Amino acid sequence: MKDRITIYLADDHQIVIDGLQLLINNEPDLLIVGTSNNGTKAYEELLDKKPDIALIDWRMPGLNGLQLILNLKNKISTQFIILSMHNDKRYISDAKNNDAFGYLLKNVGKDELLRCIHSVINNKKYFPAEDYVLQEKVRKLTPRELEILKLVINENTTQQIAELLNLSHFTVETHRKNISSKTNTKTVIGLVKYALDNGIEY
Amino acid sequence: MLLEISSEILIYYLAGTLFIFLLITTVIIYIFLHEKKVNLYHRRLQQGEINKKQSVFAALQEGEENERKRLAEELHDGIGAKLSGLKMYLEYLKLKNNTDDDKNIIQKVFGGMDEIINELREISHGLQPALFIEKALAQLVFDYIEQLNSKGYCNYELFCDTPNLKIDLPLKSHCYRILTELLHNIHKHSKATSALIQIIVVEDKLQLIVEDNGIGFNKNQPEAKGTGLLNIHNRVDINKGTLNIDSSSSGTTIIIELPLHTDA
Repeated sequence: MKDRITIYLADDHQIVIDGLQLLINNEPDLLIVGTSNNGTKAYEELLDKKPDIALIDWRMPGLNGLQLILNLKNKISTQFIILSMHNDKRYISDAKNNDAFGYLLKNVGKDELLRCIHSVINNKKYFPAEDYVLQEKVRKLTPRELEILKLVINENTTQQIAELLNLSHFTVETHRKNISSKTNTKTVIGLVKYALDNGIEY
Repeated sequence: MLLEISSEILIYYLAGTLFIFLLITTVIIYIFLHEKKVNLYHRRLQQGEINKKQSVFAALQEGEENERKRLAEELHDGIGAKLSGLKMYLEYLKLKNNTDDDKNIIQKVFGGMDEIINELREISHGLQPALFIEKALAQLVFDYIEQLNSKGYCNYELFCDTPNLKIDLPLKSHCYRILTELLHNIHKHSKATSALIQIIVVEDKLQLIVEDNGIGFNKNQPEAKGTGLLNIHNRVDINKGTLNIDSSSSGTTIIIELPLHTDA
């Protein structure tokens, strides 16, 4: 009897459960053994049914998805896949760190749903590609600041630079202050040295 | 004798003059001091008025921020989830044997559903991005410009020196709303092809610099004083910061400085 993969569904939106059921029921190797709309009922039924896989919503009344994993991970060998509306990196890494085995966006298609289930049943974690990382442009000069740096090195006064670049005195003065603080220099000689050290042509 | 009398008169005369002089001086000093007191009183009253206005604005902002959060969650996690469920129904129908006509219709509904879900996500994100409280300002702004960059009109870039800077939630909200308002203006009106945002800490101040190479605007013209800019002014004022707009036909630079630690 254990030739089919047993699956439990928990989501507070019945429509989502119905939709998942429609997509999964067609698959000969998958069997849905139960569903619930809240975390508390899901907890009891999961303890009882011990399915291979549980697809659980992140946000549910009663226990939420992550709390459910925390409370059950030492009691049953079910692998948990988190269902979520958010593709944000923070949510995905939170799920990873809380022992989820997979992460599925609710608006995925059937192909991805099945890919995720099969990956998890074969003991391979399944998470969406993390979209991006915030680049740290620490202490780097902006194009405008580089422009002004070059003009300063070429002995232009703030007033001249303001006229050349069609900027106000205040704007150029602010850029100059920031250039000094970013390059950690106090004088024009310091700026020349910084430009030489960093291969900036002026 | 005559001399004595005249010198006596002189003394009286001098004393009288002195007395009148003192009297006038006293009156003048009194009026001056009184004026000063009245002025001070007025100034205090005005300052009180400003403080009151600012605290009302701050409270309104806080309320608005909470409401935005509630709406964003309801849209995204409620309606979004339900639509996703319905999309699964459609996919089920799509996979069944249908006539070509039906297939076409189902495909159209399916595509439309996808569009709606994406638009809903954008609207919800615009109201308040997910994890607004947890995320650092730079990350929130970075997420926002990624979205703008995907629209492809203008290239937005972010420079920051402390990407994980921890600041109070109210200040973070104000900075985020100021920056997104400015970027929205660039997107809508500036015709710029490149824009640069800096979030940097200078001494004990947070500096927000937004530069673009667009067509600029006249800050004294009525349309420039629209609610967007007025809102930015208010937010800067609440935080006792400064705002400088430098706009010409070759671009706009806006420099905002907000103290990181305000003692009330």
